[in-house]
Amino acid sequence: MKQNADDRLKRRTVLAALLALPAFALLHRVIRPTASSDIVEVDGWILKRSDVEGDRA
Amino acid sequence: MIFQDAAAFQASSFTPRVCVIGSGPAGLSVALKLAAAKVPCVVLEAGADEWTEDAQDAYRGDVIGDHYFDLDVTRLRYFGGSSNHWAGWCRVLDAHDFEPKAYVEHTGWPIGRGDIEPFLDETRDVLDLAPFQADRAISSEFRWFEMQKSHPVRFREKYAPLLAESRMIALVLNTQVDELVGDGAAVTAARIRSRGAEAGELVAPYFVVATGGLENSRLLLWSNERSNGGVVPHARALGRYWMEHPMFEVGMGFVTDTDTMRFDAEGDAFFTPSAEAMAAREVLNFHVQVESMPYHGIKKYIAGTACMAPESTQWVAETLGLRLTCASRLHMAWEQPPREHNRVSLSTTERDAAGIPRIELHWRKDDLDRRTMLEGIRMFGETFARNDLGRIRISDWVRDGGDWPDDMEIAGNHHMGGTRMGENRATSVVDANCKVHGMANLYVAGSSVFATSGQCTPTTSLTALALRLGDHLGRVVVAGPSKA
Repeated sequence: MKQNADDRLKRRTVLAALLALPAFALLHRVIRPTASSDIVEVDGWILKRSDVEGDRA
Repeated sequence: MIFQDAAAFQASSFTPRVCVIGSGPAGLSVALKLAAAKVPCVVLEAGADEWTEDAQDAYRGDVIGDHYFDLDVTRLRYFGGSSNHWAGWCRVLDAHDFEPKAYVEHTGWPIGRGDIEPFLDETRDVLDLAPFQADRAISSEFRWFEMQKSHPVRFREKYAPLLAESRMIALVLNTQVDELVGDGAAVTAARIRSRGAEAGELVAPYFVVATGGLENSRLLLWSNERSNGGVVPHARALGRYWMEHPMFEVGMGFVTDTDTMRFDAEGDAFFTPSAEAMAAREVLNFHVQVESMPYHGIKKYIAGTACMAPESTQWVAETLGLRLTCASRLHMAWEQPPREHNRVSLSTTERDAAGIPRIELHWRKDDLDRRTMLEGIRMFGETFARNDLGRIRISDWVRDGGDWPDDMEIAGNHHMGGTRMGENRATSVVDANCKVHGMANLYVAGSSVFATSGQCTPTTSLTALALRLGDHLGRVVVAGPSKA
């Protein structure tokens, strides 16, 4: 089933909460740039830059 | 007609125009087309009508290089061949699989997808397939495709009644070809063995070797050695450029857009890159199988998002007391580069009960395998994120270049190459019609003729190629030798 806007918001909220954890400082050290400016690789995760930088992206 | 051994066949008055060696999907597909053209043919099957330890023993051999399956487990030697343990997953090679890739040596076929397309309807009939659904692009780089999970046809069960009634096909069980005899221009006879004893020579105007993607090389290597080069006069590539589809679990992830994913009834979705995407990263073809493990509600979100780092996963698990796993597993299978050093050779020390050297399979994955795996899954992850299908994580061993795991699928039991198709006699064994270079009456059927492997399971394409060969050979036989 396709996610609605509320679901996406919830997911983004969870993501934001997780990224606020102390572990995120560790993650920053293993960010790998990719060929695309909008994508980053963090500890093996392929993420949108906006996933990790929020509204600053 | 079905005969239980060579003696029974020799007592009949059946006179074949073609001798087909092997009763698996390739051999029987050739025979069906010959019968349709009213060309009488004999099909020799080394095994019985059921599995026996004695027949299977001839398939034992050694693997030198990367971890691989036991050679007497990865294939079957009885009526119907390896269709007896085939999983039934189907897909046809794409048009771009036949094209050369400038960045990988020895790629490209002398035929195109258009050459097998006229035989795809018959292929579906032979393999009891439904029409394939059209691919659907999910981005400029990737397409969803249907891996058709058919009810696997066991050729023995499906075709035994037809063969029993046929006046054009004589199936002879318990009868193997020890060697083909050739004079450098044509095969003159096949030396056969039935029920463990030598049974003389079988003469036919044409021969088709269809004993499987490992055994085709073995039979031709041994025959050529015994005939001092009289069976495969241009043998430099014989046994070489052997390929598999390496298969590994390469990561995990979570899915947020299941509509686009179009999971099948078993919860799998398959994706393959465009030719342009492969070229941009200089990788070979591959597919990613997303195996869903559905969740509901917050547990799903947390399972997916918390996996972003082990530390945060543990924190969430401890805090919420949830037992976390991830929402999908990512499996990858890819096309290997055709390498001369990956090859089937004859053992110098080990022989089977008939005195024929056993196989030594030399097989190693190399840097391009690693590159295709890692850059391929990265590319898929980028499409996944950019299009908000979800997020994926690549396993540590994949990113770190760790040892190849030996506790995963390893490969597909897909035996390809060894008698590859091509125009260059130094790098191929058969021509575009599957005829051995320099020989007037010797053909090869099966995935051993694959010049490259593409990413998909080989049975559908090899069946189409075998039907094409049967169609061609039927016309050659009817027209006479000058048309060969």
